Amino acid sequence: MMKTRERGREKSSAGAALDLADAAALYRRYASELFGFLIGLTRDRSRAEDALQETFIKVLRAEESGAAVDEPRAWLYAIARRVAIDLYRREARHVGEPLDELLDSSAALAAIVPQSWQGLETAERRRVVQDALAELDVEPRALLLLYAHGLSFRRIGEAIGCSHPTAKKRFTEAAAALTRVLMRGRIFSGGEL
Amino acid sequence: MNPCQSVAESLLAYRAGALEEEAHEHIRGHLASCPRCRELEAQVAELPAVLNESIDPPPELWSQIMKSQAANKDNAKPMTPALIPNPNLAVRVRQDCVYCRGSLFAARVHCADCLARYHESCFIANKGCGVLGCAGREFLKPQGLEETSRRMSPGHHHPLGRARKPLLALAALTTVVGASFLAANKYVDSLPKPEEAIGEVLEPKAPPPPPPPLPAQAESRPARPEEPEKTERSSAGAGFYRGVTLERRSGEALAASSLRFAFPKSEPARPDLIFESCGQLHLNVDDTFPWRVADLGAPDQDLPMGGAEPSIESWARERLAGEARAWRYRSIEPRAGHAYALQYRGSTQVFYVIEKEERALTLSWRPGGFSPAEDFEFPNGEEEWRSPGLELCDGLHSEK
Repeated sequence: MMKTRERGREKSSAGAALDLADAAALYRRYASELFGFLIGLTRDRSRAEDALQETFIKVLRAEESGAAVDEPRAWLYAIARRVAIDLYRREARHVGEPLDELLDSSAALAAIVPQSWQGLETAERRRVVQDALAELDVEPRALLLLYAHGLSFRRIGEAIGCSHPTAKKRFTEAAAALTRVLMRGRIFSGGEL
Repeated sequence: MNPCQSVAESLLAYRAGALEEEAHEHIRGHLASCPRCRELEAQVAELPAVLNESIDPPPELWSQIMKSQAANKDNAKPMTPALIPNPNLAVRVRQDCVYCRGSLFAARVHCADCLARYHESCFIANKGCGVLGCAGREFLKPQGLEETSRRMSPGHHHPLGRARKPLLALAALTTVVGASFLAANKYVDSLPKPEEAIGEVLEPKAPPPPPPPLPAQAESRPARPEEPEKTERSSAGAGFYRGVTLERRSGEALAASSLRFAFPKSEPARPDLIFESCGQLHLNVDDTFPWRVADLGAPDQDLPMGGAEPSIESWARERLAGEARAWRYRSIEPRAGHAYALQYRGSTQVFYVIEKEERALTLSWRPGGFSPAEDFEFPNGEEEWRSPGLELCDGLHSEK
């Protein structure tokens, strides 16, 4: 596992457009954080691999078309999100199962022994929060992950195709839903508010 | 609903700066009086860092991607602009005419300001660029054509008018398309990239006027509601503020007077500068992204904060471009007469310490900021950054 230092580095839109001629460089630079994002979104490593592969196939096609992008990082997240959601819905349609059942069991949250946030190690916190996230629909889940990966609301809005005030509003709803789940699981101390 | 429940559900959005001003203030007020919700806020604040995970993909994945791409190359359609997630995000220039939405062949020009593409006749008909927010009145023709740049003259009318004579327009368009179709591919191949077009054919322009003042971008947040307003707008209209008094935090109370920076407005973080009880300026940041601040020293002459150059801002810009700075990530010693640069992601703001007293600092700053010349990474090679939040100063001022 590797943490990247690229987090939070959004180039100014006034900066030079990135030539997509070197998709390999994009892969080297962003694959790890995108893979983390996709695992968070799909809750499945092999699906995340498929989504990452599909994402960069789209990047290579864009390279052939000669397009240039101002914000490669945000653009990659936008493609990855779209790919993951498409993949997710395609599988749900084919399998004929409710969406949530495709995920690792979100019921895992209920099985967690109620324990305060402070009592959890970092890895446990990550698992608990991801389990809680899995209870949300894929769209709000993606929204929360985009924010956590450092995209500004303006970029999130562009990635999901809405204005940034709308992105904030949707984020607010998604954040409330996640907090409710965590409080219901008594992970957060507000469970008895 | 229990008021605490409602506040609890909004805490993550509150931390992210996603709430409307009124809701934000409501939460802030509630937190000041509710220790349980403050405890919950501290937990919620850790969520983004917990969800931000980078994981190396399998080493063979890239070669699989290349193989898959090679295998599908013949069948795969090239990615059209429509497949790119959001044209505003991804594509520098539209593929069709902004004015008539028709396909662009040989008669293509670019708005000199935003590079949007037009038929030449459409740009003229529109009397300038029609892109929202762009007031471009000149267009550029790609290199190699007979005319490279043309300024719109007032009162110039398109011979066809703006869709007032649609049949005539259609006939003209058909003629243009037919005549130019054969030359289209060769022409498109020979087109310079937009950046090249700018560099080669743009006429020298006067520098853009300074950005208008944005009073909402920074605010003095008094610790006590009855504290008198001490911010004054510069009467020179240069868009800067002077005379903001930042009172020193005292005692063990968390409440503190702070100068809040909120640029650009879309950014989730809203850093506060607090004149801490220890006598240093502390950076209080809403999220896990690093801000940094550097003492640029004292300008060797009296300069205005902004507006006409030379100003403290232009001086600061030169200083930043010159030598390496000693950046601080948590706190910095305020010195009267010194200017400071505060950076976050793509923005820099400059503030200036007018006066330092035992119990208060008087500052001036210019909202708006500019882009830093360099990227910056997490301090001291850290891979994770944690905001100090509203914790009281421990007196150590460690940068780790």
